[in-house]
Amino acid sequence: MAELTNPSVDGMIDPEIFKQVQNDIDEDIKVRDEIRGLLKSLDKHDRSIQSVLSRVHAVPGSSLAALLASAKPFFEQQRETLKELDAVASKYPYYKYNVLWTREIQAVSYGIVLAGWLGAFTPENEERKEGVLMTIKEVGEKLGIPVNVKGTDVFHLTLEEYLHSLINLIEELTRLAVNSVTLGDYQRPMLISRFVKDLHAGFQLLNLKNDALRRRSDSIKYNVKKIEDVVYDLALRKLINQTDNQAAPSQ
Amino acid sequence: MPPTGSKRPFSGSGGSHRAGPKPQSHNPQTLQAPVPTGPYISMFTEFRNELDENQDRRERIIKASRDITAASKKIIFSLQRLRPATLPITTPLPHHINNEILQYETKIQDLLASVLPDLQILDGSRWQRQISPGIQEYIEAIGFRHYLLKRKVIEWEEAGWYVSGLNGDEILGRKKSDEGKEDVEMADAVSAQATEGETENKEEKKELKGIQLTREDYVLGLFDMSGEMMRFAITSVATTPLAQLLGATADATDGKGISTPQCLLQDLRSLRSELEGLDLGFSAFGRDAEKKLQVMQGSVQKVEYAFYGMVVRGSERPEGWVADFDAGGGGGDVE
Repeated sequence: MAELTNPSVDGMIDPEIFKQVQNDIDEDIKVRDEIRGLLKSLDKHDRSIQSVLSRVHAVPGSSLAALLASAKPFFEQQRETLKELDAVASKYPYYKYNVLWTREIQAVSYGIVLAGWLGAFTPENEERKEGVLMTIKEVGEKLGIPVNVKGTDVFHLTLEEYLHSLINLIEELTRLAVNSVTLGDYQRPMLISRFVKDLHAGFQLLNLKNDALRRRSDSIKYNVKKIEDVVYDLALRKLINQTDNQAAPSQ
Repeated sequence: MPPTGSKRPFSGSGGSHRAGPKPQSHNPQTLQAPVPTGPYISMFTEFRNELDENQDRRERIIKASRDITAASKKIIFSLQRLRPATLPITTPLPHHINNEILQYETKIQDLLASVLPDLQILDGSRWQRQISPGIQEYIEAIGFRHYLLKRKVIEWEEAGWYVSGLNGDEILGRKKSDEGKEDVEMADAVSAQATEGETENKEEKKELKGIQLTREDYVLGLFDMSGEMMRFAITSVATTPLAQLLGATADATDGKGISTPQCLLQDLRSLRSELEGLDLGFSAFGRDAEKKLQVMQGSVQKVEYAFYGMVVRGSERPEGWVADFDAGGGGGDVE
């Protein structure tokens, strides 16, 4: 079409200009498709991991170690896919395509912080210990990707993505607090209560701008309250030993 | 008011301390939660500093982008005041217009240089969306100027040279190359002004990477430029005598001497067909471009209607008659 209309002697447009533009657009579309393909497999691994971890609500603490072990292969697959994503993404300015994968990376980070909280990464020779917060650095080590990078333009887990995953963790722990009681575990809600309160205190330090992170972090207080209610119910019925923990509301 | 932290003066001295009851309410947070304690406080304090830093950077960039947009618009207004009989403009631009443009462009180049430190490494792509409106507007302005002076679409490389934020001295001051004669003309008037602002940044600029013009911003800027061409065309149609509007100008010998509105119509059409020929894709850019494509199609049509109106109604008018008339699509600036 362009050739047909290409105007007279003094055509204002060097056709080369738009050929280059088209090349760039095509390249961009290609990269996006490639990334989306990888995100599909990331999604798949994530679903597998979540389906394992979600059983924690119905499994007593004693058999949790075996459950967590069964998620291991999925974590490894996830690492492999992340490596591929890293290879593609690091070729381009990071934030050019960040929006494509940020949701998936949040989910991936969440999988790690949840598993970590449940004690999946306790060293072999120690007993599984719940209530651990995986730092952003540790999450990056588990995923095999850099975190919170500043000096270089490479693929990484951003601070914001990590914070999102912590909010996911809080939401999940709220549910776990309730279900732990059903399972007869009255101590875990206490642990969760303390942990979530500590995290909440942390989030309150942040000056968030009006974005998704802000809205979500504003909702943490409702989770804190729900967990407090659980603790309160337990305390009221003297099902927990309050001397261990002052988290129970006094009135 | 919560009944906490009652550090009021004792009842006896109440009167004399009245003046200073404020400090308490100054910081409501300390009332509720004294000093935050807990295992994650230090970690989150670091996060906060980092988020704050990013937020500040973001705001600086948005502000610069807005100011660049405003100054670019003013350049465009100045250019719109030109009334050449034919394109490209080969005579020097009127002095006052040159000065206006220079003034705004100085501002833009200073702004670009000032946000460079905020757009290094990762931040370049991170804040792309924030700086992009200003960049697009500037592309529109320099693209339009380039068109008026050369009757060519500005190339990506040249546009990138303008927006990089590194070439302020050359753009505003003495020029070594043929990068647009408008600049050469400006040089004298400028140099004093320009060098002042620029030299102080020189040292850091050496290590800084320039702003990368994305192909997306470039194309979107060109789309916007078509709107300016339309306005320019409509005004020119209204101010060009009918004989010259449709025929060749008096000094036309090789068919190149067609009138300004005719040039614009022709060029708008070819720009339109080039842009329509692009396969834009479905990214955010694709959606933006799709919208702008429609606007551009409307622009071309407006000019076509203006010509139509001139042909149909204009022929009823006496030779050489020029007056305000309905410019068809309603370009708001018919003189």
